[in-house]
Amino acid sequence: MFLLKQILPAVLLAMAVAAGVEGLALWLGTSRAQRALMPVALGLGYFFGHCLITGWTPFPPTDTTNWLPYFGLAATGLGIFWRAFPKAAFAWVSLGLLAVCALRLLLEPKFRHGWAAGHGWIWVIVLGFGVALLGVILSALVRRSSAAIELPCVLLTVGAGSSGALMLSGSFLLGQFGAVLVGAICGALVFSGRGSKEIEGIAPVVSVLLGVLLLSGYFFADLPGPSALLLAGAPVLALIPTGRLSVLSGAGLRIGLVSLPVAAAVILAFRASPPLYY
Amino acid sequence: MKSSKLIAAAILCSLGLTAYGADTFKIDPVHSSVIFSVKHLGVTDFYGDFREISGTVSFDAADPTKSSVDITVPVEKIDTRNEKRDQHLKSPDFFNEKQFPTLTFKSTKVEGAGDTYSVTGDLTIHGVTKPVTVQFKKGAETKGQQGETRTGGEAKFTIKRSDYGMTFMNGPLGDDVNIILSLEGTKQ
Repeated sequence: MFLLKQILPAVLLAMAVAAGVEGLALWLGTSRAQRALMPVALGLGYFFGHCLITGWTPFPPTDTTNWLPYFGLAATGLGIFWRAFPKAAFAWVSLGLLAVCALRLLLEPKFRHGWAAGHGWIWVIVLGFGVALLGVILSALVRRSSAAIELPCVLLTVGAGSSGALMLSGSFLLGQFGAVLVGAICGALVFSGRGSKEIEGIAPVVSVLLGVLLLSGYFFADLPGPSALLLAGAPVLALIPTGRLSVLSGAGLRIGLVSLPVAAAVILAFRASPPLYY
Repeated sequence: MKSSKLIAAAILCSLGLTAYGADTFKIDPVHSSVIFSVKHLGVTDFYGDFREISGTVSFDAADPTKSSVDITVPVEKIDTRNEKRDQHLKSPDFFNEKQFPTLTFKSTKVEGAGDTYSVTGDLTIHGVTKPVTVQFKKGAETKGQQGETRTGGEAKFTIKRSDYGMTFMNGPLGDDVNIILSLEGTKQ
């Protein structure tokens, strides 16, 4: 019960802020406003949810996990101008650069307490590429989702699985951040069902926040590497073509496929988890 | 003539430093402790300690304001007699050991005389540095079994963990952390 009390306010705040911004977008009515405000809803929702948990921390944050809300805002900026990039490659390079910068800040303690600079930069660049790849997958998913319910279901399955795996990784706090991301996604997509153009801007925000959260769990808690990989890679299964199935059946099958690696990741995290009840 | 004066001055200076300068004591981790207690569910305090401590205390009896304290405690050595709890305390929920592997205290001002000293310094926990002032009660100075000179003392003080960004489970776990710092050092 205490844990629920600890989680719920931040999740509800993230959801309310995101839904509020989306409501504003709907009220404004134009496609342009909706396109711009979708990533804002997600980024702001996460920002306020995260800050409710941690309180207002000084800038720059000493605990590098508290960079997350700022990474979310930076990715929001990218999401707003996502479609303004003349070439897709340029969009992905900008996401990759943002991810590399974010990971350099997140992993600063590893540079300080262990990694040699060259070794560390290899990690950061490879992982930044991974986060950009997650963005590519999510962007393709946004464009290809045939049923209105498919994208929210896929993102919520991956988000909830990530939150659960992070809690099992020995850090309830990281799990809470995962739950806040789920809340923000819920709020932002509550009015979804519109065209992919309006929601494409969420791809950089979700990929940066989810990627950085999973990497925080791997580097600073005890999230097993295979769990993090399964969770980050799960959305790719939602791109599998389902042939002649109806729209709803196809969506159901793909959501089911996505839930398999998510479940496996949670089981792996559970098996490796330090028992927190004492 | 000039060089002999210089040599004489150097000898006098070094004698003066020996007689009146600060003595440096290296903290003996076997006979020093950092013990803490936190209220659980508002019922009673549970206790824990850190099984390792290192650093130096520079003590100038003639002019205590020239004294200094520099202590480092590795978070990895936390011990609350429950392995699961220790693991949780090292996680990002509390000390975040992988990001902040040590706790440190560096004095900035020492005042007092005799047995009681007021030591002000920067306490860094969880990457957050805050000034604290503790009352340090000095113990006796004596010879150890190897003939080494030993001295030490104890300070008891309370901090708020939320001041250091550790807000997880604030409520069920008290915000006030009572700390006993007991130091013994050998003269270098």
